[in-house]
Amino acid sequence: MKRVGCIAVFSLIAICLLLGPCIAQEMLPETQKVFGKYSDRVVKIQVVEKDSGAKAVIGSGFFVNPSGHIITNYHVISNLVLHPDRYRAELVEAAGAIRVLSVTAVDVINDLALVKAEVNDAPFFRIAASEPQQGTRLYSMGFPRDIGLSIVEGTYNGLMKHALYKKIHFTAPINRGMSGGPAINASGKVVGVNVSSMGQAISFLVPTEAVARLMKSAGPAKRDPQSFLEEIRSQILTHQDVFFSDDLIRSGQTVRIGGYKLPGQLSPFFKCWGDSRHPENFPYHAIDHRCSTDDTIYISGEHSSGVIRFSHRYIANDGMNIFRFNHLYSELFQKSEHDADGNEEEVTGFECKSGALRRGEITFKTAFCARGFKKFRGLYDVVFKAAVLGSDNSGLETELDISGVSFEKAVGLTKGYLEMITWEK
Amino acid sequence: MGKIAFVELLDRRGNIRERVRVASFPATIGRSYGNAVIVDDRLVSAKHLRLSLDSEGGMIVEDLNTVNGTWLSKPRQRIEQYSVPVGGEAVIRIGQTVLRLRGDDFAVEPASVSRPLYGPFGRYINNSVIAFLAFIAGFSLYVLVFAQEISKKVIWSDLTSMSLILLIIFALWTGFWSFLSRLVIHSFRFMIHLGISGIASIVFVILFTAEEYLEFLFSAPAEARVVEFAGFAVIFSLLLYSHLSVMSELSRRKRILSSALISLGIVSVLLLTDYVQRKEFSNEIRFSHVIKPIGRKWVRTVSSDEFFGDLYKVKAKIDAMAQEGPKEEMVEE
Repeated sequence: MKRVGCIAVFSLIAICLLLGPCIAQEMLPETQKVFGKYSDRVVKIQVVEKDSGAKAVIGSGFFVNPSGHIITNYHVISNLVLHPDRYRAELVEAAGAIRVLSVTAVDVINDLALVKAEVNDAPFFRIAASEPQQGTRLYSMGFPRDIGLSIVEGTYNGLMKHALYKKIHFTAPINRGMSGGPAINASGKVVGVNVSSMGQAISFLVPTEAVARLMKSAGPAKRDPQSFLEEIRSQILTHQDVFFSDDLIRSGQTVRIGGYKLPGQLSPFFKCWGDSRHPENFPYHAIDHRCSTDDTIYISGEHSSGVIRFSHRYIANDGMNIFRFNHLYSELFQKSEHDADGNEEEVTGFECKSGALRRGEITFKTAFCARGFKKFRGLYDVVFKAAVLGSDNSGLETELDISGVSFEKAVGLTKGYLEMITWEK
Repeated sequence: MGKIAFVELLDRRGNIRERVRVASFPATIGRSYGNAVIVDDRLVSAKHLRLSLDSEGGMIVEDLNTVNGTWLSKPRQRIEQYSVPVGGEAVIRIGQTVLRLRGDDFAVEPASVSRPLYGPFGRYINNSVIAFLAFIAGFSLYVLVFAQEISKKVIWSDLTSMSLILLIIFALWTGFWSFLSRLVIHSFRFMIHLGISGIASIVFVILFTAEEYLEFLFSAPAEARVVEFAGFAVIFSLLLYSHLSVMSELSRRKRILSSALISLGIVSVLLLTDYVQRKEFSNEIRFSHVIKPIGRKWVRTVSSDEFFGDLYKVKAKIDAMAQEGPKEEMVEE
């Protein structure tokens, strides 16, 4: 009996020793489990300036197959694509070892890139077969601000409504450096790729359908860098034909300001705001109305594409003589809402054509200014300004900014924009 | 009363170094002390030439067989004997010395007007009151134009500071020319310089205003700039010419030349600076933005199709600029 008792005690100890870790694991919080199980599939990516050896950009990525293909954001490795002679991309392993990365495919519209490291049997993520239900718990992983691998728990809130580019609304605080990292479900399937945030735990993920498309389009590991520029250019031009049709403006809503009918919310993906102002120290009052697409296509640190933004300002004179009022009107007309970004390497200076233009009852003072992208031939930023002439006590000036479109598209959109401006009273 | 001749020793510029009155003839000119006119020149003979009178009262110049000879200046030729008619003159060279011979019957030019003409901007400034009024007019016009450019409700503080700056500029400019006047002609002539500055200010304001209206009416910023620069060059040279007329005894030709050169120099520097600035890369959007209170019927307009149809020129320019960048990079690689 004593012997049976000993065997029973030893068996119990043996069972405990064998099953202990499993039971302990089962009892751990979900986030800890996910992190423990999948963290080796997430990698840190750094883009290094070749001459100085200094880090220029830090981001995250994750393996999508055992042969070393990694998904990340295009904006993480854009320096390498745009200036392959000046930068190199590296994968930093947990132990600190560094492997050089090469770019095999890019998708600027969805801000994705597929890069490859020379590794075998890499632990990799699989893509989720279906979209989760709203409210599903997701886990985002990455290297926020280069302080080490982190996991963030958040909620899947479906695809963004009225967005120009498909994005998942993910309620979790994604920070800089986590870009390109995966957002996975509890079973370790990738649901989206970290891409951007708006603060206050409002973050966005690239849907996995774009990831699957990109993986299919993967090219050879050693590609001519110039071919990426051509590809990016063609992606942007193809995209603009779909989203920026000439009807975009003509079929849009209008807004009435100071007796004029003007372009309003042109489509659901435009966000519009309006306000009236009575500047305290100035003898005039103004009504402002502005609309803008919310999304941009990232091209480089200083440059984006696919943005349409327009604004109207109606001003009424409150006691200035006509000379002073017209001088004020000139000054307001001169100011542009265009973001003065881009450097000499990327864009040309602006060239403008100005003139007085008559359309029906209205005479406009107009200026059409454009600049070209140097690396992406055939893409332009355009600023169109128009001010209505003929009144001594009121004025209406309007501006349309379009970035990263073909010249013909910009002219077509501008023409349509101007045609929408009519005098109602 | 007998004939009197004057022998004038000239310097290289033609100014009189010494004038010797000769009342008895014949008289000799040379290096030795026995001559009526002594010339300290190693190339001149002890007795170099003789001056005598002919029967009509004209002078006869006669070389006394000298080693280096006697030379007529115009036309340049060696002379043995030369006659100077009554009322005439002769410029001759002996050795390295230039002599001018004139008789007392030589007719001089009419006297110069004691007050010089003060150029186009100073012509009408006869007295200090007119000068002061011209300054007030120019100053007020500038202040008025500036006042039209203030959008704020309360404009007095801006106007006061602007007026002060303007006054300082007037004072410095007028002071500079007065100081030069004092150095050159020993008189400040402050009020005349002030009046000239006032009139020039009026003309400048008219020019700049005209340039803005031109730009607005014809939507031609480039042409308006040409008018602005050319107008500035002309007005500034007239201003300099007027100041120079007050403060110097320079000939009219020299005044015109120096004013034009200084003015062109300044405009060239301005144009060069402007060109360099425009050539430099900038994200700034520069376009014709001037709006003026003129009825729209006066404005030169084009149709929408014309305006947009013309944009291919803008595209061509941008494409040419875009081509510059990557090409350079490829060469570097």
